[in-house]
Order: sequence, then structure tokens, then C-alpha cells
Amino acid sequence: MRRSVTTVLGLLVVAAAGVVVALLPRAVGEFRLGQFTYVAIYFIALLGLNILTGYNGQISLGHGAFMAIGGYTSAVLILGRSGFGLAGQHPSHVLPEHGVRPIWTIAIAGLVTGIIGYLFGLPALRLAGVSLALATFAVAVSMPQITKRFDHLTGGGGGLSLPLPQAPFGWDISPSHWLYYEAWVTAGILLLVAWLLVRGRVGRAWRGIRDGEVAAVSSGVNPSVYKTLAFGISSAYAGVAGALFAIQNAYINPDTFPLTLSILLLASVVIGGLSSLSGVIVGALVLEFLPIYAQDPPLLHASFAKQAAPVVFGVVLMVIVFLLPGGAASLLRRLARPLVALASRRAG
Amino acid sequence: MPLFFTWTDFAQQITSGLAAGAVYASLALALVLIYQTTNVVNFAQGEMATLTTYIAWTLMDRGLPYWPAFALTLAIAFGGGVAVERVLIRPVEHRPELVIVILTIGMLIAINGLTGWIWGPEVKLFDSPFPNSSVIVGGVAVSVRDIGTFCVCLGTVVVLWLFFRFTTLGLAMRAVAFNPAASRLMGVRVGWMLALGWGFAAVLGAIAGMMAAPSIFLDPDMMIVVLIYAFAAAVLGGIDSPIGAVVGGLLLGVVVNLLGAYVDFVGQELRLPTALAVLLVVLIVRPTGLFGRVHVRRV
Amino acid sequence: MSLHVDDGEIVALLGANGAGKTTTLRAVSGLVRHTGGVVFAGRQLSRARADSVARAGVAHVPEGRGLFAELSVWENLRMGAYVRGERRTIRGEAPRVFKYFPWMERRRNQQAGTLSGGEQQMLALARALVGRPRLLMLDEPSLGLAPTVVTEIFRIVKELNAEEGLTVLVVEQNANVALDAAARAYVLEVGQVAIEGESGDLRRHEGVRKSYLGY
Repeated sequence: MRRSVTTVLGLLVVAAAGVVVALLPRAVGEFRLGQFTYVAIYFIALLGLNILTGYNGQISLGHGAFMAIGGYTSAVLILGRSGFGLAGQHPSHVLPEHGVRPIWTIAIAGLVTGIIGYLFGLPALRLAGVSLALATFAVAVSMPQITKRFDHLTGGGGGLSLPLPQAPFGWDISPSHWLYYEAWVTAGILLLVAWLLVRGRVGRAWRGIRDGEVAAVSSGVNPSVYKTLAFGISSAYAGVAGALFAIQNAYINPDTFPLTLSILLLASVVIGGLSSLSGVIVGALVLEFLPIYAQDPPLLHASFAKQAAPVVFGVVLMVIVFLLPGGAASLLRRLARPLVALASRRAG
Repeated sequence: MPLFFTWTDFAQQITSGLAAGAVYASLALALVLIYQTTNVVNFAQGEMATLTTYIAWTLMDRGLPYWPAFALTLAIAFGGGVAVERVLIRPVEHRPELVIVILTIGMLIAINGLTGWIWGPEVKLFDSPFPNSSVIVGGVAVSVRDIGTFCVCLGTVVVLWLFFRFTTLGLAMRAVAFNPAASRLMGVRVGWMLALGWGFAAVLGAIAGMMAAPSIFLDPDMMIVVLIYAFAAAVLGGIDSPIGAVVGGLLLGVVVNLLGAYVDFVGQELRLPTALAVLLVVLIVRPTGLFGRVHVRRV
Repeated sequence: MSLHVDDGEIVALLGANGAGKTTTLRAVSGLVRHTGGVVFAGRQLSRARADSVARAGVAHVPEGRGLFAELSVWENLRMGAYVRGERRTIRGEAPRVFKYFPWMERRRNQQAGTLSGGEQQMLALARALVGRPRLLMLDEPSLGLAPTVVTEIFRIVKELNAEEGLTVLVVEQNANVALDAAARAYVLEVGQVAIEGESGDLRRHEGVRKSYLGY
């Protein structure tokens, strides 16, 4: 009884959120809308990371790198060799001659990143906790250098400029509105997919492996299959997020997805709540707005240096660990409990 | 490939590799010290080292001569390390590993931001106690600074080894690393042993930072790459083996230098990724590292 | 449940697996939280941490011996001396320990983990003795050892009790050996004291005979 009440409440909340998302463009200006587009993008990336680290227990300090892969895949496909040539670089012959529609590139970016993530997950099977964290950390640090090196694929240090996306079918909406909706609809679809995965057999297998691999094996779960799957899906999500990011940013270069981002992604997942889908939105909001508010806190009439943001982030993360290890999600659950109890009583 | 291969060149790459490797070894040993006793990788080790190096810089900027500033910084680092363990780590001692790792990542983020906030992001020059000259050893010109760095770092490691081998406190700390529960039954205050471990780790970090700063220049992100190399060295040597950390550090320093100098593909930019690729290969072949203990999982 | 050990006594704690014997010892030595009180030599030890209990003079040799397998025989003994200040203590106590276990002197540098089961048990015992404890608690000393070795170990325990007045509380599954060494015993069942009394009386007790002595 309780479970279905929680589910119904959850669906109501999601529906309400959906309404808010749909109506938001009417209420806010262009710049704010862009910020909320980034929230959607981070939401997608954090969903992916939560699947890997929260539900499956594999630490990734390198998700920014997967976003970079997705971003670059999308960017070079959108430009095509002709687009590259315009920038005066020497593109690889692997790339198609003309650009591909951005909307397709997002899906392709997700697929490509997912495959690469899956391939990364294979040797990662041999690495436990610490070593895996190191390996992913290393990937995140190395990615900018690698992208600079292979400039015939990536445009090198100069980066790639992307055209503003046009809405398809001749719809009359501005690029920023189009992107906003594109990002949020994608986020919604991917949220649904994540929810189905997590509550089903796959999710149970993931959690079983996280909580005790030996026990999971004895209940018939093949950890290798599920762990690499988690890597693949998680990085696919990051790839999609990266692609959207590149398009929204209209520019990508090796420093668009720095090490800091990888670290803050992990921090945000924890702040939102590991292995909980409800907190991910909090994580995404924090990731986008905390740096801004740390610098110019709205209530205090003070302005701090740019470096205040990471300090606040770090301190918030530590406070969460001390006081609220379940992250924002556990707080939400605690607040929702009386509501759920009330609803159960009414229903029962 | 450099135009001519000379033995002089080769020897110089090796010595500078050993110097860099000594720095990696110090920080790697710090990581292993903490990992041995608490099963936690302190992601903030590099940032703690940066912070103490900045403190040294400030002391010298205010007029304190090098070696007194060095010594004072080590004392501050020790105290800081002990304080961090008692205040921040102890309350969450019994939580799962992942949680404590996240805490150290929080510390990483916060300390990195803090150093940038207090001292600003501009690069600062940091003095070396050793002159920037060369000495001819066996027909090869070797940098005095490299020799100095190597000796200071390895010297510290040796002193620590002597401490652990011959003193009561050192024995107690080793006992705690092997079997904390049994140590308690021997009357050991395990908590304070852990705190001491953090203190020593912080000292190692400070030394690594102060030895590296003259060459890689002091800025808030100075130790991030060093941390990765140290991390790699520790894992390469076996995350629970102090010897492994030192050997791994030196080995990594030399190999990275040689690869960077002699393999065109690697050049200067891909040194780190290549080193890590090598590390990954080693790990796949031998997951517990060169000197690590193989853990049998019993069901 | 309630039990007491008087100065200079050997008391045995018997019972089947899961009866709570080990837990009782761990409660006394502070490894496990408990309700109720522990009074030792007139002092309240109920909320004391394990290291404080050790410093008060209670030596606990746990199930599985709790040796530092990677350290040498000598280093293990040194750790036993830690509770009273390692440097001076080990120098004074070593001869005494070597008197009871002469082989330890010859093999002091051998890694503890490479010793045989019986030798490990003896080392654990010796390590506890180095600290000159007022109460020695032994948890299942006979576990996994051959009968001759078990006999030897209990012989040494009895000798220590006779010569030095060492007070011992021993948890044992092997009731025969335990009742032979101890003056009094308690039989635990499901966390409660089921039977208690002098060893001689317990040997004749029908329930004890059937369940724990096998005849």
C-alpha cells in the first residue's frame, strides 16, 4: 500500500515539475532560460553518474571526460569536414563531408560515448574501489591533453565554434527556447529510462553488486555483465549531456570539460543523494547555481572572490557527509513522510 | 627522438627522473600511510601539501630564512594533519569507505578554493635551498637541485622507516595498521595512532610540496598532477605497501622522464596519460601492484 | 546473567556454540557494548573502551588469538608490554616468558603468521603475560589444536596460576580440559547462566555430563 502511494505521489511530483518546466520560459528571461537549460544538461549527466556510483557502487571521478567525448562527437558531426575547413583546420577523413542535424548528433554522441564507456568498463572490472577512482581521475585529467593532441579529430586547442541550433520543421521558436525544450524533454525521457532500469531486475542486480559482490554472485548475478552495462549506460548519459552542452555553449574546446567538472559532478551526485533519483534535480540545481550564489550571495550584501565557490562547494559536501549522508534526497524523503502517511490513511 | 643519443643525456634524464620520482614517492608514502590504517585514500593529500607549501612561502616572504621556515612548516603540517584526523575524520570513522572518500574529496575542493582565495591564482616563485648549478659525477653533469631533492625526500623516508622499525610508538602504529582490534586489547589508543599517521602523512606532503615548488612553480593547482602521479605510484607499488610506494614513485619518475624524452608520440603533453596507460596495464596484469598483498576473498 | 571471578582463581565458562561465551568476554574487555555492569578490582569498567580495560590490567586473548601475523614473535611480545610501557617492561619480562616458552627465544625473529597453531596460541598467551595482567581471559584456547598441544597449554596455565597466582577466566568448548584446570565453572545456555558451581560438582552433574562431557 505504502509503495504504491509513494509511487503515485512521485508521479504527481514529476507531473507538477513537468508543468513548471513547460511554463518556465514565459516567466523568465533569455539568460535565466539558458541557465535552466544547463540544469537539464547536468540533470542528465548526474542521472548517469548516479547509476554508476550510486546504484552500482563504482566510483567515477571522470565523468567530465565522458561529457567531453559526447560533446566533441556531436560538435564534429554537426560541422562535418566542410565546417572544419571553414575554421582553417585539417579535419580527419573519418568525418562526413557535410554536417549532420544536431538532433541526430545527440543520439549518436550518446551511443558513441556509451560504447567507449562500455569498453572502459571491461578493464575496469579488474580494478577495485581505489584503483578505479584513480583510473577515472586519470582519464579526466588526461582528456584535455588528448583532445589537444589529436587535433585532426577535435580541432585542437583552438576549439570548434558551433552554429546556433534551429528548431526543426520550421517551428517558430528561438534557438534558446528550442534548446531548452530539447534538453528538458531528453531529460524527461532519460529519467523514465533510468527509473525503469533502476526499479527492475537490472537495478536490483546493480544494487546487489554494490552491496556485496560475493553475495550477488551466489544469487546468480554475473557481475561483469552488469558492471560494464552500468559503465556503458552511465557514460551514454554523460555523452548526451555533453552533446547538449556543446550545442548550448555553441563552442567547445579542450578546457570546456575540465577536471573540476568531473570532481564537482561527483560532489553534486552526493549532495543530491546517492542511489536516489529524486535528489538528482537538487544536485543539478546546486551544480549550476551554487557557484553563482557563492560569489554573490543574494541576501548578504557582499561579493566574494571567484574562489569562494569551490570553498562553499567543498564545505557543503563535507557538511552533507557529516549530517546528511543520504543527501538532499533523504531530506526530501523525511519531509515527505508525513504526507505519505496522511495519504495512506486516506487511501486505506 | 633527440638528434643524438648521448649517455650524458640519458644519465641526466635518469637523475632528474629520480628527483621527480622522490617527490612522487614522498606523497605516495603519505597516501599509503593513511590507507594502511584507515583503508581510505586521502584525495586531499595534494591540496594539504599545497597549503603547507603556501604557508612556507608566506613565512619566507615575511623574512624567515629557508631552513627555519622549512622546519616550522613541517611542525605546522604535523599539527594540521593530526587536527584534521581528530576533527574531521574521527566522527565518520565507522562509515563506509565511499563516504569517507567523498569527505576527502570535499576537503580537496574546499582547500583548493581556500588557497586560491587567500593567496590568489597567480603563480608564485618558491626558493630552493639548493643552488641552481651542476656537479660533474662520473663525467655527467648532474643538477645539484635534483640531488638535493632526492636526498631530502629519501632522507625523510629513511627517518620514518627508522621510527617505525625501532621505536615503541612506531611499533604500535604498525600494529594498528595490521590489526586494530587486537591493538586495542594491548592498550593502544588506536584513535591517536591514526591521528599520528595523518600527521606524518601531512609532513611528507609538505616536504613533497616544498621540494617540487621551485621547479613546477607555486599555484593553487600545483599538486593536482603530482597527486595523480603519487596515486599512480602508490597503486603501482601496492596500495598497502610503503616500500611499494617508494619504489613505485622512483620508478614512475624515471619511466615518465625517459618516455617523454625518447618517445616522440609521448612528447611533453602525453606524459601523464602514457604513464597512466602503463599503470593500467600493470594493474590488469597484477591487480594488487608490485608489492601488494594478495587478498583472498573468502566466502 | 551474573558471574564473578575471585583473585587467584581459575574459572571456566562453558556452553555450546552461540551460548554467549565469547560475547561475555568481549563485553568485559570493552569490545562490545553491553547493558549491566563490570566491576574489576573495585573499579567500574562498564563504559570503558577496550584500551582502558587493558590498561586496568585485564588481558584478553581473543578467539583466533589476535596475533599480529605480519610482525615477528619478538615484536608481538613487545606489543604485549605496551600496556605497561614497552621499553622497560619487555626487558624485565622476557626472561620470565622464555622460561615457560623456551622456543620463543630461539625463534624471536620468525613471522608470527608462519607459526603452527599451537605455537601461535602459546605466543598469544605469552604476549598477554608480558603485561603482568591481574586477570587473564582466554577465549577458546583449544580451538583447532591437537590434544597434546591443548594439554600442554593448560598445563602452563595451571602452572602460572599455582606459581604466580594468575587469575584466569577461560571460555572453552572442551569442557573436559576446562573442568580439569578450573576450580569453578559456569555453564551458559542462550545467554543465561544455566548451571554454576565447583568443577568437581559439575563433573558429577547429570546435565553437564550428558551435554558437555559426553557420557
